[in-house]
Amino acid sequence: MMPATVERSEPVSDLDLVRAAAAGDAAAFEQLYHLHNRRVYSLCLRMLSSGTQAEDMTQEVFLQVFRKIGSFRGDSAFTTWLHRLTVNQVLMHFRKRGVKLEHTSEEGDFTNVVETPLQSTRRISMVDRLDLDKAIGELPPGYRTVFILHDVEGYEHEEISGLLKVSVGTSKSQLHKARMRLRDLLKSKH
Amino acid sequence: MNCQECEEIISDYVDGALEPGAQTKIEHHLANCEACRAVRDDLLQIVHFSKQLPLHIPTSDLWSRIQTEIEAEQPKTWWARSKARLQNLYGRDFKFSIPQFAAIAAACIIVAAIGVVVWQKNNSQVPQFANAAPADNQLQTKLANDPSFQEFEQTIKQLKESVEQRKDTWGPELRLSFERNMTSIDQSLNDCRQLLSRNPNDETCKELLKNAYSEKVRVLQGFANF
Amino acid sequence: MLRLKDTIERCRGRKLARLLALLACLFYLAIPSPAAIKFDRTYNIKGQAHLTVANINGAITVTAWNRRAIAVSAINEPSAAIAEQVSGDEISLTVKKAMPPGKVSFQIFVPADTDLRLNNYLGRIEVRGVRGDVSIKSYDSEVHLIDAAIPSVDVNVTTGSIFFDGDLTGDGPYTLQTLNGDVDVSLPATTSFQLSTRALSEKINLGGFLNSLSSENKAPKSISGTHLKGGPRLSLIAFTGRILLHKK
Repeated sequence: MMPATVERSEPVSDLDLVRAAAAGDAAAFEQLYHLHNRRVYSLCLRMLSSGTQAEDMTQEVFLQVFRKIGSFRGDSAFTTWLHRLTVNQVLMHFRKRGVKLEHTSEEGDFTNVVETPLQSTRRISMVDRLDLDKAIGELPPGYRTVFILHDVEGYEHEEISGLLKVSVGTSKSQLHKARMRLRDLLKSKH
Repeated sequence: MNCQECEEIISDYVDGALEPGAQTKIEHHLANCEACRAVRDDLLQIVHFSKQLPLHIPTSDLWSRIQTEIEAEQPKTWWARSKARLQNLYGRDFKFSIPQFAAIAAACIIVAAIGVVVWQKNNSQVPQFANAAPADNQLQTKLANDPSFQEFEQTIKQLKESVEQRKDTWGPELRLSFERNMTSIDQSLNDCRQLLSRNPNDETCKELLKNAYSEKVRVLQGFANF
Repeated sequence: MLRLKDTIERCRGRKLARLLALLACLFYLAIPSPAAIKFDRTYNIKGQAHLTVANINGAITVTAWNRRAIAVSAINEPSAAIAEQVSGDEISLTVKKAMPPGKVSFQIFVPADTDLRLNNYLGRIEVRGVRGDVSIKSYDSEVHLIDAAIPSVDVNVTTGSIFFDGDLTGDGPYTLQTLNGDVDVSLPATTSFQLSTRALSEKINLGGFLNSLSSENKAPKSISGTHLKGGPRLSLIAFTGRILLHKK
């Protein structure tokens, strides 16, 4: 049987690389790392808010990928599988350290909408986008996790509910509170 | 609907997850309430820009850390697996006499020799984290034949020597920054080479490879000037 | 009477003590702190200014203002000295190389039409409201060009994202290149330009310009084309980051 190796003469998909890596092609695994390390690291950094922890977690994720790559069947995109694996690793890390994701210490204490200055024409410029990234790091862990999963990574509330073992309602309410808190944080920067 | 009620469902509205009835009600409220419209617009922007957050970059040595871990793990798991299988077969641990050990060693050499022949025919079944894939070696030869890249490589070699001598005097922050830059460049060079090895006629990639080489020279020159 | 005299003496004593305390404070403030030295200069400008700043480690922030003067305020560690060279409206500030190099943060105000040349090794660079030509070379810097209606720009960084929010008001060229980071550009919908983009790892996202760009080449990682009447060349190059365009 011919082993699965990366076809060098034409562009290679993630799936080709995964198959080659699973068959023992180290260069293919390295390429997968180079293609995806920034996304994995960014996700870890956002969820953990610490560069050192995020690097350790990224390392653990890629070691898991190495160990489990043979079990990837290609039913979903590799990126989806990888993101799921990353999210699971981070959530496991939270659980081990007793980080409570279902509650936050400061539930619902954001500014009331009626007191908000009128800013319907304001546009968040690219500077605000960077501020947004920073502001996410300032959210309490519960808000932050739901916000990242839903708004940054595109998970549905049903999936979040399953991952975090909370109700769909809680996931929705955490998300709303996270967004409103971010709005306050961004406003305070301007 | 008042502002309080509007605020309770505005996130669902922004996500397009409201029932038609609730949607009509909130839209009616929004049409008449500038404060709630401002909230809606801000939330829309937060949601929109959350999809476009900048990517962050891990520090330079992460890949080598992972590589080391994998290399350390491989023989262990291979050994552990083989040993477990043998133990399952015979249900006991092994103790060998010297002639037995010599016979096993000889058998291993023969198996290894056969293995090498098979490997050469088929390709590797076990990841070997060497610095360059075979395709890269071919490309290296190609680059070496290309006068401009050869020149780059030569310049880079000279500059690296001069940088190495100065490195210790920079202080930790700049040293780290230098390493980060080198990793960025080497990753780009590596990416370009891999893409080119698959599609040697990719003109964009050739152009980028040249840019990456120039960048490496620029960084090394900058740091060698200290 | 004696009591009154005593009171006057006591009052004088207190005044003297306060005066001495005040003098001591002023004396203390006058001695530069060993941790940070302040570099403050104001250069009056007659025509169009050309400012060059060569830093090693630290931020450079340049903001346009309405005065015909360049005001530089820098905080530097004692090991970093700043050399200044002034020739008419040409001003050059260079952080001297020392072992190990000290940190310097520059806060600069310039007339809007100033031409800028900023060099750095490590540290964020931000330029706001400038209308002159801008050249930025750095190794490890996030670069922000905000409200930048400029005739030409050349930004080259090795590590760090480049953000450009402004307009292209001249013949260009406009070149933004990073090896490791995003190139993120926001332009008005009415801007005409000749686009050339190259990305190595990530797809190029043309945002609102996707449909208004008449493309000559639309491969996912190499897009070139003309927006409206064409004109200045806008070259965006990102190796391991993304290229993002936003229509304002």
